[in-house]
Amino acid sequence: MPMLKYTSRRIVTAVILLWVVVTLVFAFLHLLPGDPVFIILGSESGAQAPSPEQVTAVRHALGLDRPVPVQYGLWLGRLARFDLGTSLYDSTSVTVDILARLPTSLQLIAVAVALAVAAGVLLGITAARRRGTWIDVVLSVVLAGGLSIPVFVIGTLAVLVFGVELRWVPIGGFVPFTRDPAAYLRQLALPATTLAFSLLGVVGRITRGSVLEVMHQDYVRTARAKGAGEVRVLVRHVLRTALIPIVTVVGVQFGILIGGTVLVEYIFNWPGISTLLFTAIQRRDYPTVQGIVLVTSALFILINLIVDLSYAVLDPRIRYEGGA
Amino acid sequence: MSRRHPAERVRVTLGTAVVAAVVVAAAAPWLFTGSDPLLMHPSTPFAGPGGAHPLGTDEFGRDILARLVYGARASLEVSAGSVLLAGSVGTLLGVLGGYRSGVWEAVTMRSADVILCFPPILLAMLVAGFLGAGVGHLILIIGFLYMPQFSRLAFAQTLAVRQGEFVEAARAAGASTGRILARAILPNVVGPIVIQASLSAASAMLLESGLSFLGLGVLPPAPSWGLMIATARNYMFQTPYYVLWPSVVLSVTILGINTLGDALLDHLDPRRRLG
Repeated sequence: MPMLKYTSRRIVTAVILLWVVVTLVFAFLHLLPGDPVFIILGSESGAQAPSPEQVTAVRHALGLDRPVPVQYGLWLGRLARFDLGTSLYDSTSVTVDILARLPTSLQLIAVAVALAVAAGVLLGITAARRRGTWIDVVLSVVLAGGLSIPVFVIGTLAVLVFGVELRWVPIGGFVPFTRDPAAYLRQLALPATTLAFSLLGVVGRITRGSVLEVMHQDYVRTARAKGAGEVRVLVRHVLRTALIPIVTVVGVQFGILIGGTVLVEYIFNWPGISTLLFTAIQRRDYPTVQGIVLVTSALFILINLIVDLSYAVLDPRIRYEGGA
Repeated sequence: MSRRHPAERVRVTLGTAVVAAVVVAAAAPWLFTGSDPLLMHPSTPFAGPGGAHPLGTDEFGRDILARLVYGARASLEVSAGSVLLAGSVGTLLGVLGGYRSGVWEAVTMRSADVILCFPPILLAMLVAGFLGAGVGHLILIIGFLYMPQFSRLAFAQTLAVRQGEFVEAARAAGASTGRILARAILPNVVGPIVIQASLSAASAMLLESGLSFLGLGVLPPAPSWGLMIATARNYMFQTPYYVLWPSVVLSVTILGINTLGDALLDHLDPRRRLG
């Protein structure tokens, strides 16, 4: 059962990585030179010195007055109960705060990925089939633009053109889908398109490359010779094989996607996890920042695991080599 | 039989020209502008283009062209500095790990696995937010985050060549490990590393400008493109050109670096050239 062996090995690796990440996030403050409490309160960056009461309060609130091994034990114990601590700013539960914001971010990311994959695959196939013509050149410039133009530049210019000059869509904000679906979609349109553009370049280029590689394989020629229509050849034979690198690249790009999400949420005032992170950093609310870094990294590990496993399902060679 | 479209060659030439111009602007900004990027003229904020200020002035009456030209330095310092750091340490670790196996391999590959677990922008925001922003911190943190890109690549390349006959011959001739690494292995690793460096430089610049845009990167009043876009955003309803200039300059620069990287990749990988 090579597949089972491969799967369990990958899951064990993911769990170990998760533990290392949990430990590093805990250790971050202790690894830095200087007193953690003063780092949190920002006296290092030259702001006014925190009062002794403030220092004692924060030290006690974060349990930093206990021995480090005890702190680490408590940290693991709390995480086992999905307790990420309480915010220094308003004493709310960090877990609750994050759970309230996470779905909003995931909606944005999911729609953006769907848009980027649909458009990227379409553009990539077109470029591959018209290789060497001016259409290919124009498309490759567009795709290179997607890779090169910073997402906050696209977002800013999109606000300027569509929100301010043309007034097609609102320039920011959020309405829950359940309250007003039409308004929700109008609010989502610009941020999702902006975020999709940052992924479009990669997906389009990978699609172009792998379609070119597959297009002249024997089995594709056989399908054509049997009289299969062009669309059928493309979808059933070319795209199916080309899908593997596309799936991988979306997984690998997830880190960049999160970077884009941070900036897009900031520009469009989208109340997701990144806006929470940004305000938490400004308020020097360390437990909230720590919680968000941890949750996002855990999601990151999970997504990489899923990509690796789906990769093995799509391409049998991987699981035989990896599981041996 | 290169099947390159002529337009493709024009693109590469343009990309090279852009990168060259940015490097010159960072090294000798006075060649492009006679104005001081920090000098304020409170009496003439938001002056239109023309006259003494070819691109107009910002909210403090500072010359926008001068700020754009001097802004090249911060962007280039961060991207070149972090890529040099990541490239040298990463390559060294990767080559050692690939050649020595055992402990070195474990250190190289597992540390890469762990670093890759963190989305770069989050760690950068964490460090900048709690330790302070600025060019130095940006170089250190981006350099650290980009190390796996180089260590993994160097590792794979080293594995591929270490069984080669020329390595065997060097070892039989009694060459020291250091000499084998430097003379036999490294030359075979350098090509892909250079390509990776150019792509990483573009992505480091993207990251730096994004952080500066959020106010967590280059510190004011130093001119930085990301910071300029963030400021100009507040005034873009009155003076849309102010936000447009840094946006165009930043995007074209990153596009130029990426184009160069692609050209290098095409050049060194014959499969891509023929395809």
